[in-house]
Amino acid sequence: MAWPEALALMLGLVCGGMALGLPVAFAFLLANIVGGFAFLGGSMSLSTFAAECMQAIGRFSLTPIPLFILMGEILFQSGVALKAISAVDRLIARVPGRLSIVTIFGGTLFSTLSGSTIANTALLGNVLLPQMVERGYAPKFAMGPIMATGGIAMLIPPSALAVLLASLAEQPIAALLIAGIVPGIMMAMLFFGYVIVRSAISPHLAPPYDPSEQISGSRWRPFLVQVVPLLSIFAVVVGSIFTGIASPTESAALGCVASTVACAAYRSLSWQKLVKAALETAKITTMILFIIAGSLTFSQVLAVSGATTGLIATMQALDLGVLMIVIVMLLILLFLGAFMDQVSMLLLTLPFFIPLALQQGVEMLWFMVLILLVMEISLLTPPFGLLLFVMKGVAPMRVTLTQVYAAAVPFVALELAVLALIVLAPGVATWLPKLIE
Amino acid sequence: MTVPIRQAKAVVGKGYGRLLTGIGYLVAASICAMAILITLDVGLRAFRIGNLPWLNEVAEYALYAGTFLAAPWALRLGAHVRIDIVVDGLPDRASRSLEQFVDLLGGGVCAVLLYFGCVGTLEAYEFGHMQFKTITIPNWPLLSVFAFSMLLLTVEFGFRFARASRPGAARGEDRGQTSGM
Repeated sequence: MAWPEALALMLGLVCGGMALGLPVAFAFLLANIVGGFAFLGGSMSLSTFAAECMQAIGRFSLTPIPLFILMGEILFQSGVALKAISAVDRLIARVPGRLSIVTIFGGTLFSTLSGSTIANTALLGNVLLPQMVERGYAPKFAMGPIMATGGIAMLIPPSALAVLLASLAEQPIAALLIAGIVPGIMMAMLFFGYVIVRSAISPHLAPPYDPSEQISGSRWRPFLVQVVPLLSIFAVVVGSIFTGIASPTESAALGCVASTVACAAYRSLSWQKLVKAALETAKITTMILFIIAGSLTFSQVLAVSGATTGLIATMQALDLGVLMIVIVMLLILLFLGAFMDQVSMLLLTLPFFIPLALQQGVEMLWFMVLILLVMEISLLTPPFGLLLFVMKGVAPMRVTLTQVYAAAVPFVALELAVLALIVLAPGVATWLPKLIE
Repeated sequence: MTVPIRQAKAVVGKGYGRLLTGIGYLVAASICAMAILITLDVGLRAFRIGNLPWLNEVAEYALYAGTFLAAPWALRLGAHVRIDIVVDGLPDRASRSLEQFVDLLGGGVCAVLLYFGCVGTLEAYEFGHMQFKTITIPNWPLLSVFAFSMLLLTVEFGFRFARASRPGAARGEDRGQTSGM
């Protein structure tokens, strides 16, 4: 079978299975079985599949995935994150679009403590959206910052997806984790600017009010008590990597223990909450790692059938130049991201993109940051961006999906601006990890 | 269906559900244990007391075994990522038929992998394949986890197939979810 047919068969099986509603991991497994028989010598290759799965999943470098998720879940389930957001709410005085500013500040803060975009969005949506609606905020102006800031958890460490990406691409995990900090903060700053300018121009979107009428007592004390100590968790995670005390894997474990200690110190931890956090972590981790196991043979089949080399040779023949090839890859990811979840799109494209990027001499750290940014953007791109549905789930019943889509559009534009900046100026993303090296 | 058969099915279904839940708790506990032991290892190293040389390998095996053992539990909870556009767009009856077809397909995939998982495990047992790392252990118990997982997944797809026959079941809560990262 020629490589274009092999490629069409494999992609067709995965995408067809997914379109029918087969869980993604099983769609990959279906393609593996067919591909195993067609290209890898049949039963021989399938009888070694279990051993290959063990090698692919049983990697110490993947342990930060459950641990970063557990860290966020502990803070989320214990209610400590919720108290921190409330403390931020008290701190911010009368500014245009105040509650949206609280959302962005609180969400960015929680991003430093959680590796989960869903937990981040759900938390912000549950806590702040009812207040915004009550204060007469326009729904699309209320929801946009929540979704956009929720996604920042993917960039700012701890980020489970950054660990997965670096691990699959066989690139340094620590460098990618650190490289996400600057773009993450840049996005938050842009969101701040947009909200302030937009609410100053159109005050009806976020009716101004005097927060002092509902806040009694000290503004700073809750912030100092509920928020500042939590920053020590971020310091433990990033600091242990910076100082070389721990590897990224070990820093994730330290972060879990630090989160547990912090929640216990706030007397917010109970056995039930801890169990709930651990069960949620087990569920999400299983889902992610099972897709990785499912997609394992997929990349081998693509390589053996000649699809990978064929596609790379075709791209080379087009003579597009490095920058254009990178842009084409990002456009493909943006397109897929509108229909697919982040893990699936990574596993579907990395077997082509990593060899192509390496072959073209693309700076891998820069390229991985770009992939992370595109994946963050794709959380918000209609029709199937993940956070759009998380938002719909926590929003009042009368909010339509079209309103949710409309809310995301300005923030997608801002995120695309950051992406464009980093495409044109790679140093923006890579200077910090290089400085640490 | 007679009452005793229905009761027996209910008992089996309940017992199976408990087994999956138990596995879920076990995997959750293993993740917590990983966090504690890795922290302990860093602490021991920092204070130059020693280290836990076996820890990386145990964590690797736990990650592999945990993923495969908990996969049927996650399937029961609808925690595996899936795209529902087609199923959601169909009328109830067609939606249930498609759901059952998908369950048959999923069950078939797992049954094929169960067969090959057993072949791989038996080969490893017969030839005495070993994992030679800090801890030396035979390969077959590790590989049997894969086969056991596929067995449970095949059974779970069977349960899903049966559940999907009920009106409205295709839009029930045992549906997929999207990625949690």
